Amino acid sequence: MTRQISLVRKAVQNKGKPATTLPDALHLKWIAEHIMPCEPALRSWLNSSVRCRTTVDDIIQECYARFCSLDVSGITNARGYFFRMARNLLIETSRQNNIHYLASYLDIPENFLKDETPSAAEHYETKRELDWLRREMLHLPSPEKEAFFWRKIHNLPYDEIALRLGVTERSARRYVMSGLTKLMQKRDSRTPK
Amino acid sequence: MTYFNKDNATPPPTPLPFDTESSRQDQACQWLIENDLSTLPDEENSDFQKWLNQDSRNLGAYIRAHVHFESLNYIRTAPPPTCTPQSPPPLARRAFLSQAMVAGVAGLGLLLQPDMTTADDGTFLLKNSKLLPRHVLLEQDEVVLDVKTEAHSKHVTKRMIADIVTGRMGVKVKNGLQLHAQNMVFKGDCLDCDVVLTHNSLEVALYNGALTWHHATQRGVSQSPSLLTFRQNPTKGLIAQSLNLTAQDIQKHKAWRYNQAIFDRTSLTEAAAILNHYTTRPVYIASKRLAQAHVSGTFGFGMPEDFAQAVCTLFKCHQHPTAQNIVLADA
Repeated sequence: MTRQISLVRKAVQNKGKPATTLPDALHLKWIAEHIMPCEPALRSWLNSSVRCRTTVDDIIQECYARFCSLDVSGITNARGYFFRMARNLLIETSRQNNIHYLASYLDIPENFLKDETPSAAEHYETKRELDWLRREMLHLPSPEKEAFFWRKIHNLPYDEIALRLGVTERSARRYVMSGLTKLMQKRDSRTPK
Repeated sequence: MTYFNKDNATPPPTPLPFDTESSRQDQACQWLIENDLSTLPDEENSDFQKWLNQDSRNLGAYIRAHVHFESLNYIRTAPPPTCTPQSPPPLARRAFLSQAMVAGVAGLGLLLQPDMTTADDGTFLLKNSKLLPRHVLLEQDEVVLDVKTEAHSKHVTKRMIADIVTGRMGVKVKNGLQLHAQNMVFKGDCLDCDVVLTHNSLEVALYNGALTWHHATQRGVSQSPSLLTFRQNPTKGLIAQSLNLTAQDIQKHKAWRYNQAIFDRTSLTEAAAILNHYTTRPVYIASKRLAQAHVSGTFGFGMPEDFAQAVCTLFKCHQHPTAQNIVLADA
């Protein structure tokens, strides 16, 4: 097999060592609005690219950790940034596993890498993605659905959720946790259009 | 332990805090919910910090779970049904849960309706990539899109629901309007207004009607004619300001809809920058004297030659036209 080590263009100036302190609310909001909606597309691309022990989940989780310590105010194309970061991580970890990709194998669609503010169509897709996640809440099984409704729609504390469901507070938390886990698993297995 | 949930045969999921058998993401969800609306006891907090520090992917998984969880937040549209204490008979409990779900779904539906826009439901993607403002008539409502402006709009029972992504949009509606701009919502009836959204500010020029605006932390009502500006301050949060508009101000603000700009003692640099949005042959000022000069008058969009000629006449300077631009310099 011909070994070609692609010349990785360093699109990321600051790799950002993962932080152990949690980011503030504004930073989290940025991640929620700009990074999270791009995840299904990135996951789909990674699923076709990852060939080593590193999993897609590992790469995505590492990306989120790195975004925690980055100064995001200058990022105009978060989607492109996310893709480049994931690609660089994939190359790094693959080298550690002695896997070298052909340069063209890791081609990311060009429109994800342009340094432009996302278009209305991309913004629209972002909104659709968030709406899909909210609609899936309606399909959670009981009693997770009820627990989620009380927590997310009515913003009730857990002791009151527990009272309404007739369980302990710890159980109420478990139901919400279980609901969240199921939603995230559904999202992870969703193929973007 | 006896469980009083609807299905008495269903126990809650397996205990926390640290189920080592589950995946990293599941562990992150567990920690997130443990931290939700509560402060962990010292020992558990120490376990949490150790887990975070153990592997950077743990932090990433936690943040990922956090943003997913937060994205499911809704604003409550109706108060929840009153809670009845524990131990009613089983039939009443089932009815109560059904009511709760209906209230929840109703609340969800009221909020979801404006957000559940799909390409198949009549939502228009409005985008102006031309060099002049573009007028669109949607169900008897007028929309004017400035250059490099993108927005969505749809009509729901004669009410226009619009979402501006970037740029400037003029809206004149005969019925109701609900306008979304970033995380702000504006509502009103029989409105005539312009909305300008840039990366660091939001401005609404209200020419006719009364406008209610709503943000996560603030609300307000404005009467026409007024100019509202909203800026996000890192420490103070949302800063909202309102100024009254005179008839002259309204004329000046609205001129762009008619492919014109009205300058009133505007610096030449600023005037050129405004007019350059509407041409592929921009006018550049290559003189300090000219850059500090001020100009008044009405200029049409897409006519850089006329603007350059007028400036040369007014300020006795020379123009150096090329195919790509026009440079104004001292004689």
